[in-house]
Amino acid sequence: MFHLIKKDILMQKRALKLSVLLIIFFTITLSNIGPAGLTVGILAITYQLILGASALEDKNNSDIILISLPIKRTTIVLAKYVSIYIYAAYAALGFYLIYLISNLVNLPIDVPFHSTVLIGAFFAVTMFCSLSLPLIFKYGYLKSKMANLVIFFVFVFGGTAVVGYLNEHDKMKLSQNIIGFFNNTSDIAALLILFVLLGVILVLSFFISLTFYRGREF
Amino acid sequence: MNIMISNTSDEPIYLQIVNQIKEQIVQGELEESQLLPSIRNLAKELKISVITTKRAYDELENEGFIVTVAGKGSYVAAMNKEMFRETKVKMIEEKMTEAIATAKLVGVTLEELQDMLKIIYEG
Amino acid sequence: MENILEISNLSKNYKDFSLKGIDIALEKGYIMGFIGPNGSGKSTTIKLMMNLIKKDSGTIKIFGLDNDQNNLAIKERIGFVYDENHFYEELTVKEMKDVISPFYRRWDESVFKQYAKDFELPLNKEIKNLSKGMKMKFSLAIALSHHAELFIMDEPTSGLDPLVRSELLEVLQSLLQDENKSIFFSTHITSDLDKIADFITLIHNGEIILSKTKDELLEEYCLVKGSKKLLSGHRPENLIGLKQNDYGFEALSSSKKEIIKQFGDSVMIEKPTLEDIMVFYTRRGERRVSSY
Repeated sequence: MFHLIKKDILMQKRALKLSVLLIIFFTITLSNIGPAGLTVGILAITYQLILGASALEDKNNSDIILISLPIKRTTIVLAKYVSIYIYAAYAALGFYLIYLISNLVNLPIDVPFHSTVLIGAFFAVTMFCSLSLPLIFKYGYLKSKMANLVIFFVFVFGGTAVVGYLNEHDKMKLSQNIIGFFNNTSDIAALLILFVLLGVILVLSFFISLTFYRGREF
Repeated sequence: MNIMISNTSDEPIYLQIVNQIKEQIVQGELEESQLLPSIRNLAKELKISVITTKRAYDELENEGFIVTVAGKGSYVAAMNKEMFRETKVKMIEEKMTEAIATAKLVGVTLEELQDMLKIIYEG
Repeated sequence: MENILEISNLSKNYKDFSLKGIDIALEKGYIMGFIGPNGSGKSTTIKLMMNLIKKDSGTIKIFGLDNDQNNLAIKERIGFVYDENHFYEELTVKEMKDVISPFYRRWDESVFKQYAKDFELPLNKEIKNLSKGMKMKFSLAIALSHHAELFIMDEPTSGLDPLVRSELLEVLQSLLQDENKSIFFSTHITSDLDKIADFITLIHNGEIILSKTKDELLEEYCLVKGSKKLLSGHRPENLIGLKQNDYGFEALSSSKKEIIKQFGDSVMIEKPTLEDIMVFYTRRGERRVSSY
């Protein structure tokens, strides 16, 4: 599995260089909307790399090679799921480095790198990939390209909209309930529930992807 | 051992091999108990299929020209060359008798026949 | 004899094409040429063997093992070369090799190095910058470097120049020096097989037309040419791909003996090539192709 991930990274040498620029760009443009901006940044980089890998895979029709090798389809699917977090960690690290640098040299931009960024990114990345990977495993990159783009923007705009909405209507009943719930439980317990929920979605998504990929013909 | 394969010949390739090896055995170019190349090696060298060389060796073995020892290879068999020559001479006589009969049928003379033989023999 | 490959009653249905219950068997130690025109079912068969697509019915046994149940164990022992490059074009030869090699338990780096040297593979070049012939040689080097016992080749020579093709055939022949290795080779360029194939299997419209040793095929079959008036009164079922023009007829026959018995000296009898056999079996009756 490690070698499959290594392959995804190796073949994206160019995309990785581009992602460094993107990280800098996002820091400048998205920082002013607060931590949510960085979350979007991490999601965007992950999106770029995970779909970039699938695009190249599709272009070369390389699934034919992978399946002809003694590799289980489970391993191929699992490698994709693991690679999500490698890309996300890479993006987070990038933003963190800029945060450190900007603090060291006192740059005029304020990089809002809080723990909420990481939790938010983890949430966003997991949700996004849980939705888009099954599509890729079922239809391949090209045919699911539009759907994935839509999912991505729903996440970015929908996510920020919901956050904004919740901030403005703090007194609304629904958000009150949720906020009330989180206020009543400790932070750790709340996080725990969130993680368990994400875990269930992820596992579900993985098995759906696997079923799709097992049934796919090349 | 020399073997030359003609792809345009009407004679099947396996038969070309059989005949050429036989010839070399009879003429003593291949000596008794000499090791022959393996069927796979011969196929590779001649750029022909393994089945073809296998068939040639099977044929040679059936006719008693070679012996195959499992796991070791094929050897030129010990054979009575005199007896082989005798049977061949008998075959020539039979064919000549046939040719003469045909000649008599259409009135070809002995002299003409001898000339013919000379021309054909000398190629 | 032990069959290294045994396909029985294999079917696969598509909207516009189906593989109709085919049977193929290949003995260990030999090379089978799998011939047929484009679209006849060669690639579908190979994809089924490699589990790239799912069969509708039938069985495929490789090394005596069912290919569904023993997928990985079988693939460990298979070396494959496909007609098109499916490697990651963005990787260099060496990077690609490093990605693939860990998956083979019996990967032999020294063997790969030797082939890389013999084939003059440019290890640090990106795959997209390799010539078609070089891509095939890279694929071949990978196939040869993990002590595979069955080599599955899908149109490996298509689009290659004669020199590279003859190099490939030379490698294949030296592979067969080991009697435990076998090759299944699909192609529509039959001249590749005229010399080295042991068995020939002809597929057309998803059906196996014939499968026998090449020697038998070339000895038993013949091309017949003669004047049209000979055709009346003769049973045409012996004549395959019969074609008539203003001056006579030509056809393929599966029995030279039968033709001699029927026509005697009145026809011209020629030794066919594999291409003749394929073309006569698969051409579409009387329809002629012309330019307008």
